[in-house]
Amino acid sequence: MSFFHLIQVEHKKIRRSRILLLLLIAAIVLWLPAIFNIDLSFDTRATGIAPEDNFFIQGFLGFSWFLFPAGMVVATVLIRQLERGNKGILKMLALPINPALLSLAKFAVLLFIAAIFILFAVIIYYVAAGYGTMVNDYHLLLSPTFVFKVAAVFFLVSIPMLSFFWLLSVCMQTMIFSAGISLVSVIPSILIMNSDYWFIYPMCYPFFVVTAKYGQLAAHLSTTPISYLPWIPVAVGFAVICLAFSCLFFGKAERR
Amino acid sequence: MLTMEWKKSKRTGFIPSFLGGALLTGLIPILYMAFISEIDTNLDINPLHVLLDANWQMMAMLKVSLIVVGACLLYYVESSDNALQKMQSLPIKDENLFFAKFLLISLIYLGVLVMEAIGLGFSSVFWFLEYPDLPMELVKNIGYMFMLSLPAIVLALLIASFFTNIWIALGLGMIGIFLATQLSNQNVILASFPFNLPFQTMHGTDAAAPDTLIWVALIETVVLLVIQKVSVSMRRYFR
Amino acid sequence: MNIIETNNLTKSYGDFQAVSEMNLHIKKGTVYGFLGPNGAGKSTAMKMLLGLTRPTSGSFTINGKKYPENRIAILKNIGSFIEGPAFYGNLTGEENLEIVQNILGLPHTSVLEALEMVGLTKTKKQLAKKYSLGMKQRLGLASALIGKPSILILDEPTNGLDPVGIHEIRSLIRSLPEKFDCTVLVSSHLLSEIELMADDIGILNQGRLLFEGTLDELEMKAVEMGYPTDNLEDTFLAIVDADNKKRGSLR
Repeated sequence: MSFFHLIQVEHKKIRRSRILLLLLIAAIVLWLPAIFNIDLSFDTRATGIAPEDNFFIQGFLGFSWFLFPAGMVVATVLIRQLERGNKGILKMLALPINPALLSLAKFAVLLFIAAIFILFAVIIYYVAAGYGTMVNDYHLLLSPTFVFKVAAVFFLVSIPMLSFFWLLSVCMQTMIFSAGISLVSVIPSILIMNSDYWFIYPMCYPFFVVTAKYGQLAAHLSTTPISYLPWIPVAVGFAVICLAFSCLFFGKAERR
Repeated sequence: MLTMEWKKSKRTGFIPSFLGGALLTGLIPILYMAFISEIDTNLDINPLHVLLDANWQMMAMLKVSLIVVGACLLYYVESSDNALQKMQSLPIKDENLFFAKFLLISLIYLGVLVMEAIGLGFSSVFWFLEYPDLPMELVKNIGYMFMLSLPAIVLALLIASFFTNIWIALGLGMIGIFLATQLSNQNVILASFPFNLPFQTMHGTDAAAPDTLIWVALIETVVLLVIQKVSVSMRRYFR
Repeated sequence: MNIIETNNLTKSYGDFQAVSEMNLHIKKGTVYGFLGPNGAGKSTAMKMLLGLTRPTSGSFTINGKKYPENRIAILKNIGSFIEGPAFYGNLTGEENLEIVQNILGLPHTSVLEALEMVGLTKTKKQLAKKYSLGMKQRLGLASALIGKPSILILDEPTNGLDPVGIHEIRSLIRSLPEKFDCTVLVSSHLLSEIELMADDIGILNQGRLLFEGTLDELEMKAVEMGYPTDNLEDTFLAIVDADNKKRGSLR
């Protein structure tokens, strides 16, 4: 069975799980406060950022700091429960497929969910910004090339974090531990991001990137600029190690 | 009932999670003072106000997450091997099952708050000038924060009891937490959102006086418990 | 005297009738066998008696008490086992029973008695999720038998057991009315099994009660209707088959 085929199979498993609906609600909840507090977007004296940039970046800051990581913790719980809930994992392991590939296919589904979540956030952003434009008679919509570029970078830099979540959910038999540790690892990212060693902590990458963008857009704001070295090698290495271990450990507990 | 719920939570990681969470939130103010704070501790200030203003957001966030995850877990144990059906065919009331879970989380949550008090107390004594009313202040704050967290506990359990799919309950809980962090504290109504109440501190909420928020919390708790009771009979109707 | 009586009990999901206008009469101190193919509505009927599913229409009384007014009082006297075992996987067999024991307010000895009755005494310290299928089944049965309730509702209790286990459980059920003075409602899709346990039987197909009475009465009816009688299994199949044909022609 080809890897691509396997991904399709895994994708089928999340049908009727209502995860997409959940993510859509989350995306709406993300932008609703932004609409209610739209005045704040125009109050840019301190930062010197254009209101349209401000509206977009403030939403994405909230998204990257908590909502996106938390949503992905939920998605990992989902993928795990679907498999273990009715002992589906035993069936899968009894079929002639390589467990490592199976693990990667599941990770691909996690990436797919992440991409959809980001896409939802972008779509609802345009709805919210469109509404804001109408109400305030000020053009709040940013160009799609800019927005999608930010979204794409956001997706890429979240991969190490996702691989860490995935490793935890594969290795820990007790679901609450894997979900709990994942969540707990997200919360201090705001502290670590401001230290010099932010690049060794993948949970803060998405937040870091969005904050750096904020710094670029805001004239009076200085944030740590992105330095690609040693960040990129560390990030890639981290993701590869996490994935390698999750492939190694996948299904181990069930085959004991 | 309570001891039974305690027993059911065995080997699920419920207790260790709360224990770990308690240690972590207790450590936050200590780590903050040790590594981050640049405040002049020789000034005559209320150390608790300083520590809470700097750390409470993160500490509250951790605790609300703990509540949501714990609530999901307690109901997950019920639904995963059909145990809830067994419970429903026994002569007990669904609402008592719920209430026992509520008590269990509340009590263990109180333990978490005590750990935090220890962390805050230690940081105050170690780094700040002596502050005479510290013990009393700590007790008052703990009691206040406990009261304000009750609605969050009921709401998290209510969500968990509604959805047997744990990821939906967890997801909705997470959305609720996120919403709480986005809501302004300047407005009494927004500050009264159940998941937002635990973020309030006794001295730091401009929107309402502490005793107003205590009343809000108590009323919300009662209302949510009533909703739970009504929903039990509604669900029985649709079963 | 009938300890359980239903009056036109009906449960429908949309336009599908899982149970339609069922009138059961279960005598006190007997074993009543509930017989029907898979999906005939046996579990649904039993779940209604336990208040796990709300009847769409109709009513029932248990021990003279009505549902839903006397839900708690009714459940106090019933031990049940529905749709396979229900338990807490993270607890041991013994701990699972202790929870039921606590709720029913029984002494701790009842836990050991129940474990002994189903033969789980040796493995009581194992986690329930590590149990084999048969052991989970036994645990489910133990949680129904604990405290010797006056009414037992057992849904296919011998599913997943080995021949020795089936025999044991069967003899246990057979002996219950005499030992504990209780009434048993037990379901199965095998007539051969019901035959060995039950005093009265009810045959169910597609939600409707086709027959109710003793085994002798069933035989008499079969002769009357011209169904085969040398083997009761054949009789049962013929009754169900005739009913299916009748419904087919109605459609």
